[in-house]
Amino acid sequence: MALPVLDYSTWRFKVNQNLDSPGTVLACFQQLLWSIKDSLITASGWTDSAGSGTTLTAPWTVIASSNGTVADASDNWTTSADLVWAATGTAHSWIVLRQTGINGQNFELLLDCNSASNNRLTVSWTPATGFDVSSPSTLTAPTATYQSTLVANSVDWVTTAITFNCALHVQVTDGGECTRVVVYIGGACKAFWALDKPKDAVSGWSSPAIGYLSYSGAPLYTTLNDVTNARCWVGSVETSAYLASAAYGTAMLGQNLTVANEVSGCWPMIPVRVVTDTYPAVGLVGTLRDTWWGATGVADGDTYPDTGTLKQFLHVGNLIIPWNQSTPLLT
Amino acid sequence: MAMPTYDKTWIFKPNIKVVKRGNATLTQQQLLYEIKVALTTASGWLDRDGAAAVNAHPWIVAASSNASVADLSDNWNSLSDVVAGTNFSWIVLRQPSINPNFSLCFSTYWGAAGNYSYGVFSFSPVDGYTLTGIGTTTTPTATDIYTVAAQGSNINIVNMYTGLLDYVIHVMMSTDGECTRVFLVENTNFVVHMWLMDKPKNPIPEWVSPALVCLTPMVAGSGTTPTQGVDYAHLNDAAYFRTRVGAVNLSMYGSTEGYLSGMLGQQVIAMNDISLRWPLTPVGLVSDITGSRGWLGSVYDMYYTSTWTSIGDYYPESGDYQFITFPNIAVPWLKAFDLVGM
Repeated sequence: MALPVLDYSTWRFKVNQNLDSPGTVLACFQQLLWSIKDSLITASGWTDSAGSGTTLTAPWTVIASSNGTVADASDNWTTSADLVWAATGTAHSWIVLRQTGINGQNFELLLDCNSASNNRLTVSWTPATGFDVSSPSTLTAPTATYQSTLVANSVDWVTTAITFNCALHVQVTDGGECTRVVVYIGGACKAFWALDKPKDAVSGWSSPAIGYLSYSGAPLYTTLNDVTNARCWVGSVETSAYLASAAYGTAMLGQNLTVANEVSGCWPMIPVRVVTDTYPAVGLVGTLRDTWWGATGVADGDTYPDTGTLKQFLHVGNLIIPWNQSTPLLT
Repeated sequence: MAMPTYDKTWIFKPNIKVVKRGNATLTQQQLLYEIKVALTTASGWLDRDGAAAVNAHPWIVAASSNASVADLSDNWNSLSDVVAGTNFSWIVLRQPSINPNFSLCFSTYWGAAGNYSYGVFSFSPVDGYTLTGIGTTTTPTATDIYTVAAQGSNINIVNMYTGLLDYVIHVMMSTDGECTRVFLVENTNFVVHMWLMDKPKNPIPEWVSPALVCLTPMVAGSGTTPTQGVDYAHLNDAAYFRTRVGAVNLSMYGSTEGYLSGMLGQQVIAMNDISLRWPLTPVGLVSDITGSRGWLGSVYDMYYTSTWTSIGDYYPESGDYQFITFPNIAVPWLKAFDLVGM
C-alpha cells in the first residue's frame, strides 16, 4: 500500500534539538520550556520534509508574558533564566502565544509556570477570542472566556523533578495550521503536544480546532483512544474527545494487528477520527490532519518507510506523524 | 459531516415477498428460487427513482441441477425444479463483473431426513467451477473454492429450520455488476440476513483479482426466533466477510471507526449533536489469519450505523432515502420507497 499523501506538503521541522542537562533540575526544565517557546516563535532555522533548510512563514507570536519581574505585552522570556516557577499569587513566569493559522481566529496557547515544582506547569489554550491580557500580572496568568486546560499543574508535564538530557522536536505547517511538540528522554517519548486544525469537520462546527497531548509519556491508545484527553470547543461548549481508529471486536486495528500487513508488507497507518463526548456536542466531528494510529508492535521512535526515501514518518508512541528524513534523536 | 456520496449507481428489486410454505424445506426452495430469478433476470429492476431499469450485468447461469438433470443449462425454470433430497438441486451463477470467472454455487442439499433448510453455499473467486462430470448428488467443485456452508454442515443459508416464517427479499446490484447484495428479512421478528458478492473497494495492490463474499446465515436463537445477522456481532466481532488471497481462504472482519472497546455506532447511540445526523462509518476489511494479517480493502457503499436505529430506518429520514438500515448497516436505497412487510 502506498504511503499516505500529506494534507500539508509544507511541514516545517525544527527537530533533533539535543538539550543536554545543564546540571540542575531547574535549569533542565527552564532550558526545555524556553526552547519550545523559542522554536515556536522563530521563523528561521527550520527544514522542509526533505531536510533542506528553510523558513517558517507563520511562526507563533508572543502576545504577553511574565518573567516573574515584568509582565506586559512583550516577550519577557529572552533567556531560559527568565522562567521562574511559583504558585499562582506569587510572582512567576507565563507566556501567551498566538497562532492564527489554526482556525483563522486568535487561537492562543498559555504556558503558565504556576507551581512551586519545576516539573509542573499548566498548559491551556483558547480557540478564538484570546486571553485577556489587558492587565498582565506577574502573580497570575491571564485567563480566557473559553479556556481549555491540556496539562494541569498537578501532574508532571515531562518527568519527575530530575536532571535529564532530552531531545526536542518541533513541527509546524508553514501556514501554522498544525503544531506538534515532541520530547524524548532516554529513548522514550515523554511529552507530546498537538494543536491542530482538523479536516472533514462536521457542518456546524465553526472555526474548528483541537488540542491533545500526552504528559510523562508517549501518546498511546490507552491515553488518547481509551480516554478523552483531547479537547475541542464547539461554540461555547468545551468537549473532551476520543481519538478514534479503525477497529474490530473490542480493540483498535493497531492493537489487534501488531505486525506489518502480511499481504502487502506495509505497517498500518490508520486515520485518526475525532469523537467528542460532551453533551450537547457528542459525535464524530472530524479527522486529524497528517496523523495516524499505528501498530502497537512498532517501537517508539521507529521511522517509515524502511525502503525508498527513508524516514518520512515517525512513530511516536502509538501515533505516526510526518518526519523530515533525518535520524530521530531519542536521547 | 456530509452524507456519504455513492460509489456506485444502484438498481433494486425490493420487497419480494415469500409467504411461508408447508415446511422449512419448501420455504427454502422458494427463497432460493426467487433469489436466482432476481439475480439472473435483466428486466424487472428499479432505479433509485423507482423507474423501470434493465440490468446490464445480470448473473449468468453456468450450470445447474434440478435433481433430475445436471448440465450447463438453466434447469431452475420453476419452483418445482428446486428440490431437496439425495438427488438435489444446485446452481452455479457467474458474475464476470467481479472477476471473469467469479462464480457462486448454492443448493438445497440437506444433511438429514426431515424438513430442513440446510444448504450449500460456496464461491470460486477466480477460476470458476469445474463443470465437467457434474451430477445431481454432489455440488460442483473449483480449484479455488471457498465453501462457506458445506454439505452436512447444517447451515441455514436462507431460512430457519425450525418454525414457519414469512420472508421479504430485497436485492440490489450496482449497475456495473461489481456489487450484489441480497437481504433476507424474516418477517415476524424483522431479523435480517445477507448475501453479499462484491468487488471490494480500494483493495491493496497485492490482493490479486479481489472478490468478496459475505453470508450471514439464519441461526436459531430462542425457540423459533432467528438471531440478527447483519449486526456488529456478526460483521465486526466475527469474521464473516470471505475472500481468497493467493491460495489462502480468508475470513475477515468488517472494521470501522471505534474507540475504547467498541465501535462508534455502538457507543454513540444518538444523532450527532452538531450535525443532527446519525453516524455512518465505513466498512473496512481486516484479516487476522496468520500469514495474511492486515487491512486489505473496504466495502463499496456500506456503512455501519448506530445500534439505536432499526431495520427500515432511512437516511435522511424524509424525502431522499439515500440509505436504508438493515439494521446495523446502511446501504443505498430507493428514493421515497418504503420497505414493506407482509
